[in-house]
Amino acid sequence: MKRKIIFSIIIAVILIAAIFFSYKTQKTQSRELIYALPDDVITLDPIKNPNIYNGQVISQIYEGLVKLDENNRIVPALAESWTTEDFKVWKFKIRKNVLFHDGTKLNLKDVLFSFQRILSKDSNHAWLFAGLVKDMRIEEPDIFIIELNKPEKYFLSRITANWIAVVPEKIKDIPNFGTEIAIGTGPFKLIKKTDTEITLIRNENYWRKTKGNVSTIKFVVIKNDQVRLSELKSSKVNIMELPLSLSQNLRDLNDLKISTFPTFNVHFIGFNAKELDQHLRRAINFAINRKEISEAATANLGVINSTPLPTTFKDVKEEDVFNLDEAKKEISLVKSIPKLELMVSDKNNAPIIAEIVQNQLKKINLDISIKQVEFNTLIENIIKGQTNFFIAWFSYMFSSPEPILFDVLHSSKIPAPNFWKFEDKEMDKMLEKLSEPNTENLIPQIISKFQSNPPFVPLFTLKTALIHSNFIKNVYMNGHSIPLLEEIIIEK
Amino acid sequence: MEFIIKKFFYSISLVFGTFTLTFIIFNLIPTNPARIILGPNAPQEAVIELERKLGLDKPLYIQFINEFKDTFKFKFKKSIISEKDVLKEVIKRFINSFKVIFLTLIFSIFISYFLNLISFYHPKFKFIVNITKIGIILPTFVSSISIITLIAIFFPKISIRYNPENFLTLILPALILSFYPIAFLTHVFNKKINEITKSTYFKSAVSLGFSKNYIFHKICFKASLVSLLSSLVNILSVAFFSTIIIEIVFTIPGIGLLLFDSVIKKDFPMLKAIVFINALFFITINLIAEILYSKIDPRINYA
Repeated sequence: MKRKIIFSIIIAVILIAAIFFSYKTQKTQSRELIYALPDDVITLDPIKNPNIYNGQVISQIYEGLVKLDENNRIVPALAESWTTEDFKVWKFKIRKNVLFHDGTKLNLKDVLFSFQRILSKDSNHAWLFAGLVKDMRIEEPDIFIIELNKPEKYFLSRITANWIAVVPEKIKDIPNFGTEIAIGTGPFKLIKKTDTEITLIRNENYWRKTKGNVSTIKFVVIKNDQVRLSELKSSKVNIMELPLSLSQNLRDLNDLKISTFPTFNVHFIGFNAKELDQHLRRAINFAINRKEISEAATANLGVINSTPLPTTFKDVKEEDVFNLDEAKKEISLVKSIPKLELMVSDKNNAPIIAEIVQNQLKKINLDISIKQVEFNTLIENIIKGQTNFFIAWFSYMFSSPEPILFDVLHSSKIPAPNFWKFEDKEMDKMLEKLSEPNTENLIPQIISKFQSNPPFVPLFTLKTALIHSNFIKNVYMNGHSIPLLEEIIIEK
Repeated sequence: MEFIIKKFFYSISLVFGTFTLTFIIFNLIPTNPARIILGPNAPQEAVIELERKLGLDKPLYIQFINEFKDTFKFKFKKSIISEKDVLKEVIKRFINSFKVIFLTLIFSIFISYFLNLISFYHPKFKFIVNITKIGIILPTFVSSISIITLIAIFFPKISIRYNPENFLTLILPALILSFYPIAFLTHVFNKKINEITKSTYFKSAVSLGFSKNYIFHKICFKASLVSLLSSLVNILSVAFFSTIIIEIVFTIPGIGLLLFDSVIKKDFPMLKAIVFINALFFITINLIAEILYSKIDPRINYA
């Protein structure tokens, strides 16, 4: 019998030793960067890019004609330069001697094919160009032309995201393109993709010289926030995005550093502008103390904002319109106050924000209740008009103010992204003028008109925080939440 | 034989019942897959266009009939999110989950066997059997998160991430998952042993001078086999349910994680395949178990 007990103890010891060894043997290479993602990478086909985390991987492999640098300026990518005379015909001079990852040379046909593909029915981004593009053609030796139906001075801001990308024409004949195979021109190329891990290596033939020295990037999917952070603390992961849920009580960040970046988003309290009185909306706009919300719910990552535009843009000021006296005056003008139920999702600390809003509105004698639903359910409820009071946010695909204003405020965009069913003929006219040249002073006018009759209450623009090991330098991210991993320097 | 045929038809009706129920519940969730794919910023026209492409614009009863026909022909569509072949994907994920569950079952059988062996030989160690009761109260998400936190505090250099190339990284998830099965099996086994030790044939066996080893294995173990087997089948379904949490925590690409994702992203073709494969699996397991019962204990006769 004793032998059996000893035997079982030995088995237990072996088991524990096996666990230790199994984890210890996972060694890392010296210039390997391990980037933890919170969600699956579903596809590596740029036209199918479903979300920002997927986009972060795609952006390392592919490039478009232009892109955003770390200061959110539009810089040339595969287009060496561009010209337009009337903002209607855009001519892009395509860079010579660019090689795809499989060694073939980039030519004009690839560019034309890629853009036709982006505008096709299979694409998830075709709506970005709906009714806009009249014709696309090539002009030998190196000019690619996009002709628009009407002039649009901010057209470039529609194509700055890396998933508006150029792919080789031969992918037509590759059935598993996107699931197992990815061919782009970006700074890194795909080596291996499994369900939870994607390995990229540096593209030695990249057309541009970069400062970075990362030789391999491994994207690993770790869904649980706590586990991801503990992996980072144990140096099994080098870099990850800091989720809001973890931002408040971060401790023991010995060898870790947090870098924050302004990105294109606005978090807001939305109304159904048709159902809720203008004075009530104004009152709530004045009664919300954005600073308090930013401090309590976002660990100061939220930059307070009272305009529909992200504070990422230069002209947007960080300001709060908080004014309790004005709010009380406005609320006294409301004839009958309806029962208000604030619908929120479980993401991005929205329930905490909702509670703060509930308390702040008590100061103007407004009692609201809170209802929490799943994020997609919330969006569906908003679009179907089943809620008239909600907290949500936009991550914008555009990198300039004009199309953003047009999308969220123009009456033709009801029900999405004009969630508020907001209709104002004067506003529509102003928004339509935005695409014309020399209309810089129109934007402040639109914003002040917005604030006098707010269909939604902007709260803050959330900065994206990357948390990473100390020895990782030169960490940059642009407004599309694309990390510029090619510039990263690993000092070891 | 007749029993098996009866059981088979019963199973088929069960599968279609499950299918109908899934379809109804799934369509009660007020979300739109096309909207999820395109994101909240996309204009409504684009969403309607995509709905048409995915066949979601047809009335519900037509969608149901189409799905029903396809299922009957064993035809599965592609996933609307990842565009993967659902059947292939589900089987692949199922195998991943099964690896964890197989390890869990092995752990729980061996550990509960040894615990009972020890407490049988040395009654003073009986408290160990009682300690395992914690496994019944402790939900998987609590035990997994607390163990991960403990590891992060005491062994900060150890990685707990699942590595598909390293089978050994499944041991920790399997151990956590086996808390409940260990507790359950140990107790079922222990209760049976307690019953047997009170019986007269046990006392006579002891007085006849059989060795403890013989008594434990030939008398106690053999008599408990049927109840152990039925609890194993129960545990299997509990384990499949708990893997969802373990798979989310450790990011193991298994069936639980796939189920979770397809519900959240409203991927009906994928969900249908999961329900189907799961139902088939459990029906087969139950069938095998019921046949085994009558083989082990001839008193059980279904015919």
